[in-house]
Amino acid sequence: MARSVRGGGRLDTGLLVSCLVLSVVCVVMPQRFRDSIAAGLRQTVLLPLVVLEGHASGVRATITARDALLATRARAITDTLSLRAVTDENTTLRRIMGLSARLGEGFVVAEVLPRRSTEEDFRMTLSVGSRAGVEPFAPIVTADGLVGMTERVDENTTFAITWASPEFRVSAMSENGSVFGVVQPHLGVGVERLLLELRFVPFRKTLDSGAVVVSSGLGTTYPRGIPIGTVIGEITTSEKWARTYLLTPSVLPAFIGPVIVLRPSRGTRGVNTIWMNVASADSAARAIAAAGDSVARLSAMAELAARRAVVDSVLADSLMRDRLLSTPPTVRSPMTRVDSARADSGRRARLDSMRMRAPTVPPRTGPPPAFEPR
Amino acid sequence: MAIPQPQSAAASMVRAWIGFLLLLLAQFAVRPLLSARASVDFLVIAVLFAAVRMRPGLAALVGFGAGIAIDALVPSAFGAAAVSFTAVAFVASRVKAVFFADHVALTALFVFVGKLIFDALNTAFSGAARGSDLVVQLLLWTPLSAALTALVAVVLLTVFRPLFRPASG
Repeated sequence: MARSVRGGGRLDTGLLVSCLVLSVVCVVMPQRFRDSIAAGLRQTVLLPLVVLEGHASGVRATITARDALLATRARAITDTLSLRAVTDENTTLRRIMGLSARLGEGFVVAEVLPRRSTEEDFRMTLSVGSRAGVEPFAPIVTADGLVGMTERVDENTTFAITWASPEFRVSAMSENGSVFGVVQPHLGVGVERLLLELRFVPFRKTLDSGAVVVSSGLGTTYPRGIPIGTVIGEITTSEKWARTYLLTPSVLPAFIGPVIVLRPSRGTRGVNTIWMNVASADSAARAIAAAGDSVARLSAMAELAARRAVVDSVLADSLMRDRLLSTPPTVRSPMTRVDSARADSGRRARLDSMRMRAPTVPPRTGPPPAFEPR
Repeated sequence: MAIPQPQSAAASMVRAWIGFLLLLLAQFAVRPLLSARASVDFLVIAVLFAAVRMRPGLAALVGFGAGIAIDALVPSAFGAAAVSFTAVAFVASRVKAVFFADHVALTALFVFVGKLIFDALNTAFSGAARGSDLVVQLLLWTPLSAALTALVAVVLLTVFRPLFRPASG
């Protein structure tokens, strides 16, 4: 028994010494031998383990890359949203600029301040006050139509109500002026709270759905012609002697950005044509948008240069005509009238054409003359 | 009343080798997922758990094999892990009667010290760290890694008791 234990001990020691010697040999052997042995092991017995480790590393890389991917995606979404917000803001500002251009003067542009938590949904605070010329009970509009009315005006701040306020009333009419009534908020629940009512419409008058309702100008606050809403349909009320229509407001609360406060002087002069001609409003907005585009600016400059050249040539012709009216030309050819249309025709041809046009009445460009009874 | 039957030596050895292979797989499949400066060394656990069931000479041979496998993947320090594992496995097999009782704290201490010795030897033979790096490695990362490895060893011994518990008697 003791001999067996001693033999086992020798075997253990022998194995230990052998392993240590082999290990030390591995440590001290030349690099190329070590590399070749390691490569041989990796490509044979250790191949499954190497593959397994590679897969695990790949999984880890995927997990890490997924975090980066999610972060990148989140950043892209944030950028896209901010870009969308900037685009929307630009559109709103361009439309406001278009409206300002059509109004000319007599208004104050204001920013709606962020709503305070205690502020009611149908009230808003503007960033301008009496110092900028804002007065109480002045209409507030956007490019889409009527927003509300100023209520209290401080030096630098204005408190206003929107069309959703229960106190809001405006005398209204259909776009063609055939139907009159009073617009007030529809005091429904939920989404219906964001609708308007056109009340007191004479029973004999009807409005189709989709008809635009504008302010009638009756009263002192709202001038005639500001869009208020679009007819959805008729609703039944207890007032059997008059019709009541439900309207979609022209300006939804979510789209109230920069606003314009009309001053009394502007309201007195009327805003009839400001919102009526949608096509002109669109073209004005497009023109403003295009003005920011450098390519459009270049083409506009080219067009301006061409117009200037035409004006110069016309000016030169008129000077010549004045000179020639006193000394008529000696030769006149019927063909020169055709040539006169060409800008590069000879001076003589232009002179002839001027002579032909001189007696005619210039085209009228202004409004028709007022009828004056004799 | 059921009387627990003593395990046969062959069955115990088969379970021990299954446990060794599972830990070997974990070394290459799980460890890369937990890649960090202080990480769990499943191969140290495997070698230590195997060594306590073997004769010291055989344990040294198993340690040498495991070390060569590690060295083959890091050719610049070829042989360093083989020396370290051979020594650790032989010593672990020698002291198994003292340390590897069925006691959780002793097992944790056993694995902790084994990992410390292995890392110290491996760092010394491979020459991978010098100067302040060597100090930081030996005084910070090696103890952290050893502690983590000991913790995982205790968890494994608790959860997979039939695989890693040494045969009684």
